[in-house]
Amino acid sequence: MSQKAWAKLGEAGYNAHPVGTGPYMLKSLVPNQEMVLVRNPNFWGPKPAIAQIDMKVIDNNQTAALAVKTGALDIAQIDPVTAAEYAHVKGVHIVVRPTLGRTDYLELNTLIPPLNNVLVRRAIRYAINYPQLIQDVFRGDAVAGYRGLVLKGEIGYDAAVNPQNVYNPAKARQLLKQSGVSLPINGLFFATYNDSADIQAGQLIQEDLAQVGINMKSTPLERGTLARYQVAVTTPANVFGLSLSPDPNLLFSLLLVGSAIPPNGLDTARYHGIDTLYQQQLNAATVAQRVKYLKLIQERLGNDVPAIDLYVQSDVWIVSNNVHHYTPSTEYNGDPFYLVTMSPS
Amino acid sequence: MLTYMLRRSSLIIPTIWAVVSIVFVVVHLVPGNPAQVLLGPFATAAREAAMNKAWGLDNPLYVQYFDYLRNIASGNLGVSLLSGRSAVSELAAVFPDSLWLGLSAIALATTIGIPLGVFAAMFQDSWIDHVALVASLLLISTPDFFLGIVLLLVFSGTLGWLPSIGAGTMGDPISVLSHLALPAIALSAGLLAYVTRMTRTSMIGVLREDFVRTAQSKGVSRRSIIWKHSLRNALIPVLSIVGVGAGQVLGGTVVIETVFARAGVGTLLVNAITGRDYVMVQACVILIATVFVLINLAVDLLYAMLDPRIEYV
Repeated sequence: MSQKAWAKLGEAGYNAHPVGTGPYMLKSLVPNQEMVLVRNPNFWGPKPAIAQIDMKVIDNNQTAALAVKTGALDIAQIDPVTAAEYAHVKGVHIVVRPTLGRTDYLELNTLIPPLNNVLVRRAIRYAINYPQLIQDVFRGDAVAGYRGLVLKGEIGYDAAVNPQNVYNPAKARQLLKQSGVSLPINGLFFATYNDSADIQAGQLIQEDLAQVGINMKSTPLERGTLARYQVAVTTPANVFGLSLSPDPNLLFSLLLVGSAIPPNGLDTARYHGIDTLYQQQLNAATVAQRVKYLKLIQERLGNDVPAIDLYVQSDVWIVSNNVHHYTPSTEYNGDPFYLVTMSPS
Repeated sequence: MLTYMLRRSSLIIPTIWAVVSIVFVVVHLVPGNPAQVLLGPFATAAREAAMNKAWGLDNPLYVQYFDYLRNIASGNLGVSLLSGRSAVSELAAVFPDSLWLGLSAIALATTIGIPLGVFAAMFQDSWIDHVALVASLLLISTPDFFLGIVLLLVFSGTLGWLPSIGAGTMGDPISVLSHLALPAIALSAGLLAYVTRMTRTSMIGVLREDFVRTAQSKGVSRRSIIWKHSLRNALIPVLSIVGVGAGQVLGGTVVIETVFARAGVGTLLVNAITGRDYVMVQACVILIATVFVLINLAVDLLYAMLDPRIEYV
């Protein structure tokens, strides 16, 4: 980044006129609609093979997939349901890449009754039918989330204390009985995103919970209203989709460490159970020490259930057969841009 | 006529003022604020406060309102809270595409709907009439987004006759028209149906008038009676439908732009609403309201051209 440009343009101006040293330059930008990148002739590294990249924002997965099929686009990131329809269509192929951290969490408010009862929160975790969710919403291109919320592949991940979530409605009912809470539980809701996959997932979760006696309504909200619910003290639960780095500290500081969460952070859980452990692992002198604290954190989170890791998604792309060897980065979340055309040099 | 035009033109400003004021109040009542949406969960209180201060959103609502009115009176529609670009340049980038789409839809609806309605009236109760009525009913009943997706799947996906997304290459008429065809057809369908039915009904009424019988007895050709004398009288109520339908078309661009991935004012407005970009919401509303008012002014003036008995004073 250019410090001079930042100082001159300010944040908003810089976003519209970025100055960098990468292989591409911004040629034109229509916010939320289209972006055109051209090769940077002064790039210090190897000359990029592609002269121009047009990126369009396309909200509709069907439109995006059709555009690839008709040749208007070369590559598009789509949802698994649409990908399944195009799996055997001539002229295109589907690329699936498991991502490191593209995950949805159901964060539970640990202060609101009856969610303030840890047995109820554990029951919710057992009540969700993860295999059906993954099959129906993602056509199998996802895996069940992790009890201790740290993902496989992240630093400190420990399978012994942090196994994947399992569906066990009998166990859920047993926990609810032990909790002493009278059933059915009514008056709860969880806010979620309003795109088609999240709406469908929310509906399935609502049905799963209803079967064990928890009536928690899935409430899809548009972005601006959702932002309000994320910070409201009275919100019982929220679903958050996050794409995280290989380090779980981003998840902790965003959701689970009360002292670290910014005012508009996703602090639905109002949870302080790992504040001390978080600081200890942050200040650890060695990696081994840090891993030790991370293991304790995973144990604590698995027991306290301030949030439930619902699933870890794969990214799914539909690619024109004119494009060979397309390999998206496992850490790249292409949403919301789709490549239109790539002009070779 | 000139006095009438000036008087009607003078009503544009109060009309748009009323629309903008209502939208200003409503958009500020919706939960959430642009700083929250833009900064997301990583925002600190200080950063959010700084952003609100920079945008003037920390002022009382009435102060924001009068500041805004003062700015638009001097032609300044403000700066988009999300992109940092002037609202005028944001609109200028996408308005031509929306204008082409809207005008194409209205043109299609009228150039097909009016003759179809005339034929249906001429051959009342024949198979032509029945087909026209059933087809128009189907088009009225079909949501434009559904029709758009079907057209996309058939003509682009399966047959490959027309492109699927975008607005084409500016300056290349073939490219622009081929990209315009499917969205314009989808957007025009509802209005076409109403125009067809209204033309038919109106023509049937006019064809029963005494002057038509007089013309027939004087030996005037059927073609002249229908297309020169009767249609002109029948078009008055049709024009009303077109004026009101233009509003529907403007609203329908949002959905059609999404289906066909076209840049446009509709998409800009939806993004502004979800992003709580108050400035862009109001700028889009001003533009849409102005276009709608101008279309209806044109419709009113056309009445006088069609019917010399109508005098505007």
